[in-house]
Amino acid sequence: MDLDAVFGCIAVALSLGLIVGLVLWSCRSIDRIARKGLGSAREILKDKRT
Amino acid sequence: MTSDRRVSSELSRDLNLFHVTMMGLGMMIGAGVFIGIGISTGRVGPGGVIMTFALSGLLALFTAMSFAELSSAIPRAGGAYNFARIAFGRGPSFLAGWMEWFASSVAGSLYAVVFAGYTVKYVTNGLLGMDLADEDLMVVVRIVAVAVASLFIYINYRGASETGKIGAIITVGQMLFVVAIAVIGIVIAIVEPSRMANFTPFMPNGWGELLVTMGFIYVAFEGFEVIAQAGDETIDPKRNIPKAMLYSVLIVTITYVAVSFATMVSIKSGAEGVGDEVWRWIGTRGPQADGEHGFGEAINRMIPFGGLLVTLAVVFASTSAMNATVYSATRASYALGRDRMLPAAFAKISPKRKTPYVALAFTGVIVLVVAGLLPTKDVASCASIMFLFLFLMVNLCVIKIRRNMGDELTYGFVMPLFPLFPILAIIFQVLLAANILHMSLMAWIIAPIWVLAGIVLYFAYSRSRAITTADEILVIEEGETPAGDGCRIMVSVANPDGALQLVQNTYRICSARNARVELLHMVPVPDQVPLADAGPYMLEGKEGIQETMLYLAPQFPISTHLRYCRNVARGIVSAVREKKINMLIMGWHGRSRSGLFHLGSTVDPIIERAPCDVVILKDCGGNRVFKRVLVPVAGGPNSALALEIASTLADGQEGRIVAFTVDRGMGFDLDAFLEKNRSRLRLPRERIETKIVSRADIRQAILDESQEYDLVVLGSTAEARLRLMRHDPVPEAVAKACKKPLVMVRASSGLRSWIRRWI
Repeated sequence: MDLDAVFGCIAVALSLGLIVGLVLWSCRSIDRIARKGLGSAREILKDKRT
Repeated sequence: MTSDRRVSSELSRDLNLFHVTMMGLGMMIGAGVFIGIGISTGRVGPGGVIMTFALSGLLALFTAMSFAELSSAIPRAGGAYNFARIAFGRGPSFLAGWMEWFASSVAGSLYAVVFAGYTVKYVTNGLLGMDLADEDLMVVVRIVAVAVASLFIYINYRGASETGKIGAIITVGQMLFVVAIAVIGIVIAIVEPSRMANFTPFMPNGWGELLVTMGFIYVAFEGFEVIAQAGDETIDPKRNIPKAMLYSVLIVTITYVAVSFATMVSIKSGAEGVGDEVWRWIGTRGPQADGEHGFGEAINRMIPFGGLLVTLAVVFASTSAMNATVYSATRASYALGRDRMLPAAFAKISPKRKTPYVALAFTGVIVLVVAGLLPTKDVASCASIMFLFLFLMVNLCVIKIRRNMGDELTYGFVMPLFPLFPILAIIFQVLLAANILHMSLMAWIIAPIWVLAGIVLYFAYSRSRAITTADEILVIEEGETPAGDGCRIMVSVANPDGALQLVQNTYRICSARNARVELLHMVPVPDQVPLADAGPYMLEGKEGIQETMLYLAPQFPISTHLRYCRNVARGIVSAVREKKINMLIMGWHGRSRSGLFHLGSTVDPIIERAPCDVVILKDCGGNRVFKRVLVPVAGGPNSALALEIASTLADGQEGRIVAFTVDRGMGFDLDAFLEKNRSRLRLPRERIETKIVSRADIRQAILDESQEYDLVVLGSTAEARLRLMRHDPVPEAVAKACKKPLVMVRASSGLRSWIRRWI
């Protein structure tokens, strides 16, 4: 079995999975901030700092 | 931006999430994928090319998240230049603008070269059957590339370019083609699994080559930078700009991966002239045996007329991307001139064309020199390396701005695991930029020279001359909207002369409806000038609005709006939507300059799309008294509104209306129609007559009848627009030919009516 192919396919799948996951998470986050009011992002930043 | 006590200025926001996403995709699916697949395949093999696009997509997403966070907090047009100014001050900001100028210009050169490469090859080989030597082919390609680039520079000078909604349609076409290729490839692989053998060996030249190809094709992912520049024109930018950036990277990565896969399985191993190693064949197509034409030739063998389809796709993709990059580059150098970081001449606007012609001329020189002298591979490497530098700076900006100004800015998007992704992006961008050296030594000579030249220029010239910009974050003044829930009438004022033409009739209609008035002047600004810098364009409109206010302000609650836009019709429709207007009144000069439109490029889209009653006035100015008013009636909501408007505009003492119809045996009962709409009429029934004639030519019948009247009021057509592409509908034909003052109306229609008009 070609190990390059195995690792290559895993890398492609991980990359695409990560892209889809990050985009979906980010868009939900954008909607959440918009729903709660734009000032809520400030609260998120404060929470992260504390 | 200027404003006085009564007249406020605003930016027209008429691009939604779909439009800005398509704007980014249109920039990305330009040339990178068409030449990138072949050239990358030659270096990293069949599996490597798929990994190249998947990993580059992930890396692009990291930078897109930085852009998204910054654009959501600072949605002013300007992109990297603006972010760097806020994060690091003038010096790095100059460098960002300087690099953006060069990166976009070189990307424009790349699109010109790819356009020329594919079209020349298709015409010489495919159509003429000529087999030019590689050297001759390259000379012809250079000449065509320079000619095409010159044409687009001229188009930019004329101020005409397709962006926003029309650009979105072209991009959808490009996407459909690319997605079709991907789907066909996947189907082929399912039907004929033996083609998966084309992926052996998976990475023939080792993993190290990945960094080289990832750096090389980075230019194929740079479109989200253009989305940042549309901040001023986008509806709800804090939400839509970041989403559009993320969606565009997601869509384009999946598409590129699928298309790379399709290209690899497009040809059967051992096919005639290909040999056993398909990837090697793809990677050696092109004038310098470097794979430049690998994608096109592979697709040509996969589907019937593949060569023609690929050439058409390249033509559409490259032209829209070239146009966008040229105006993007011009805008970058214009901004440097405006802030006096480059000589003030860069900010000079052509009095006739309203475009920054000096900035465009210098941009043109860069585009033409690079397109004319450098090989395609070096041009692509040069563009990629410059975008890598630029995006590296944006990733630094996002870290600095979050740390220093996190509490002051209102973010619409906050990236997770901060600062992991910007740091990863910076590390990989340095690695990729370094590895481009293996692909193109020329790019590594030119790019640092440009950056060094910028640094020298800054310290020698710009540093002492740069002026302080008004602010980093644009505050837009909103006009006061009259309170209450009554009828809202918007009057679109084009210029002082037009304003006076509108006043008298607007006064009558507003009085009849007891309306609140919103005066609007749309200021069209060419793409090369950011909307926020459009102050000099609005003087005439401001004067027009003030003229109108002199007459209307004492009588009605009134508010005023000056809006900057790229397209007047789109701007007016979006203003109508935003302000929840019930009726729009505007003037019409009475002719259409283009055969593509019935009444004109501004009036037609407004009649189609404005979600309110529309009243269009032609030659109705002065203190005219309308004693005899002709209203051609065919039934339907537009005729009813025409009768209502006619009864409003007719002279209150002596005015008479003639409801006129041409009998064509359809059984239309004019008296019943009048009775049904009696409540809307503002004249006594005895002053409304009916007249029915029998004629074959309805248009001529109305025109002949109109000779006896002071005013003609008619409803716009209710027929489906798609059926009317080749000829003017009767009302529009009458409106054009009528020598009398004329009013055309269109009643507000719901979704069902809108659909009916199109289908």
